[in-house]
Amino acid sequence: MHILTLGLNHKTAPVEVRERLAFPPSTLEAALQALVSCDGLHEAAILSTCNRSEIYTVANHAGRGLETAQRFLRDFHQLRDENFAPHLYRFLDADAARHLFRVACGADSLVVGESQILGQVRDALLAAQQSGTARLVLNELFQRSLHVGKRARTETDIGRGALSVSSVAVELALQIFGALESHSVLLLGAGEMSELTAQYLVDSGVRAVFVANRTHARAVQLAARFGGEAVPFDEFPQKMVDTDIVISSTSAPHFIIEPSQLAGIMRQRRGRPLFLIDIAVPRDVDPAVRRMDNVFLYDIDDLEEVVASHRAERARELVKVEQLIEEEVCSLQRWLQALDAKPLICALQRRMEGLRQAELERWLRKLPHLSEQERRTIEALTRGFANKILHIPLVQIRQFATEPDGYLRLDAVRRVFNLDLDDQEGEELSP
Amino acid sequence: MTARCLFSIGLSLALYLVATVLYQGHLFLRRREWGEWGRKMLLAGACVHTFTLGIHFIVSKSPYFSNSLFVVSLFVVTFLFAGLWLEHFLQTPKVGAILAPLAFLTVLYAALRHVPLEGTGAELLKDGWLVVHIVLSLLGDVGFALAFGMAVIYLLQEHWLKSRRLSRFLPPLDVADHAGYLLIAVSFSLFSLGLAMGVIAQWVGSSVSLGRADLKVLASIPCWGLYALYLYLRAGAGWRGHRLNWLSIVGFALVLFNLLVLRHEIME
Repeated sequence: MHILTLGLNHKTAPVEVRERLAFPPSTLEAALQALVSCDGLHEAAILSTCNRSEIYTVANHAGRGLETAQRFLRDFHQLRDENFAPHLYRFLDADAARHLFRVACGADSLVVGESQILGQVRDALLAAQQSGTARLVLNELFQRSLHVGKRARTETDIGRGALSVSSVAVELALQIFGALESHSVLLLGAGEMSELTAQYLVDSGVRAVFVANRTHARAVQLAARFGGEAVPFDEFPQKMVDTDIVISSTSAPHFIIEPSQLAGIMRQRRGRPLFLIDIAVPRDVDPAVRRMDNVFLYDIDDLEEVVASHRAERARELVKVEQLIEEEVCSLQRWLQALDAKPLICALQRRMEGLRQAELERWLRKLPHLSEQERRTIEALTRGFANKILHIPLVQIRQFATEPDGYLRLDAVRRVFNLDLDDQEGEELSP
Repeated sequence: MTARCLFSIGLSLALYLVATVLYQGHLFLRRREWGEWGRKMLLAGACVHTFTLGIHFIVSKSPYFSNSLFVVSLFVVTFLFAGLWLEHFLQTPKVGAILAPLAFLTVLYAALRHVPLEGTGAELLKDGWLVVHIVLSLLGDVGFALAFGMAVIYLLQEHWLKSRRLSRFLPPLDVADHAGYLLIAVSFSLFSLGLAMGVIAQWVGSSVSLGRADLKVLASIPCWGLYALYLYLRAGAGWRGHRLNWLSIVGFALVLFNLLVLRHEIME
């Protein structure tokens, strides 16, 4: 019994190939049913996002299973092998688990550590469960991948730190002001990035948005978009007295905010912190204002430097994430080994032998007058009895191990007898 | 000191130790629930400790501060309650992570090395007015100490932000500033009441008579004045930020100097 992964992603295939192998939600159920009905495949799950399409399946024969899965992709999407086969990657057993765990942790994502993928893995599992194609093994594999994904985000910093200029601006604003509900933002000029940053701030809960633009009509239009208020451009210095966050992206060829002007504004602000985000090129804000107390100025280079440091931090966290993944892969491997017949047989024999000896001792204590010969006779009787009881179940267990979905029956036997299979080192006892 | 008192303090120590372990586990092993349990253990320890102090004074009928352990205990529980409030305000378990081991080590040391307070100091501590003066002033000092911590954090955070770096370890700038202000506001009231009690104690003729130019008394005037100025600028004139936090730091430096270096000149 093997876990197989077959798929492609943003690293191995361009978008024009990925889009042809995508599985829209409406086709997922049909795809899963078609996949699991293929000869040799017992379980199936499909993970399909804008950056990857992957099939997870369980088969008794790895090589034939992978061929069958590839044939399914070709037939389902009506493609020719040469169009997509060179972009495919294939993983088996521990590597398949390792790959899914990396995906769930965001370690394989375009934006390392992104959290959206965890929800997508969860959706893939739900779809497979609802279709009845995820059973014992894939259920366990995907559940563990969700657990690893959560662990990675809790125990490491792989998901921390904004990775876009606009979200970094919000993170800085939060670091200065804490909650943003009682703060307002002033937009000077109208540029795409400043609008995006303002949108992020609005989404984070800023109280009010003011817009000042040399073209007042444009300011009105932009203010309406954020539910804010347009301000005449000449009056923006006065507005800065009450506004804590200023995003500047005018097309002015010179500085529009200078230290001498800002000193008066800060006196009126009585030292309340002022956060200036200067996205304009050439810059709108004189860098000399950095030296002023309670003024925090970030230009586009500063924001991108923060983004770069966050990216580097996430890359460093990958080492910890990989360690975590290896722990979980080992744990899964132990679980998979327990599905084989041999540990089950050993555990069953040990249980029976334990019961036999316990009962034998208990009854022999009540018969102290027995001779050594008589004791040996009774012992042989009980041993023979135990072996005869176990004979047929053990034959059946060995038979299950050879059947296509025998691991399900083996798991049922383990549950019926409530056997603990942690000790994998035991040998089968001879009758 | 009774065996029951020592047992109770031992229980508080155990709770502080458990809180220490839980807080460090939260910080280094990233177990979120450990931080919450750490807070509960620390609060439970502080409550047991406070209960012990109260029961001791009621039952023993001994002079208010007959033993160094109880003086230290008063300091510690005040720090803990104020610190737990601060932790809740800042929404971070890092305050408790610092206070829990400090509380454990301080009380452990005081419990192992406790001495009865004798001599003139002990005599002074039998005077009710003086005791109220001392307790209120010390409570105020505890608050100023925490406000000093907040001011340092503000300046560190400001430095990081000016250096264009993000520190996730420190609380937001405005939050640290506001916490410092609240601490000073409460502590100033306690400190002022404490000073007033001292004046009243002299006026009603306590067992203690101070010289006209008692340095400790004189030094408390600029302490009080600095914090009064802080509150006027902050609450009255609406100022905040970099300079006010430096004012808080200077104010606490004066408080510390007054507390640790200067002594009352007690007339015979």
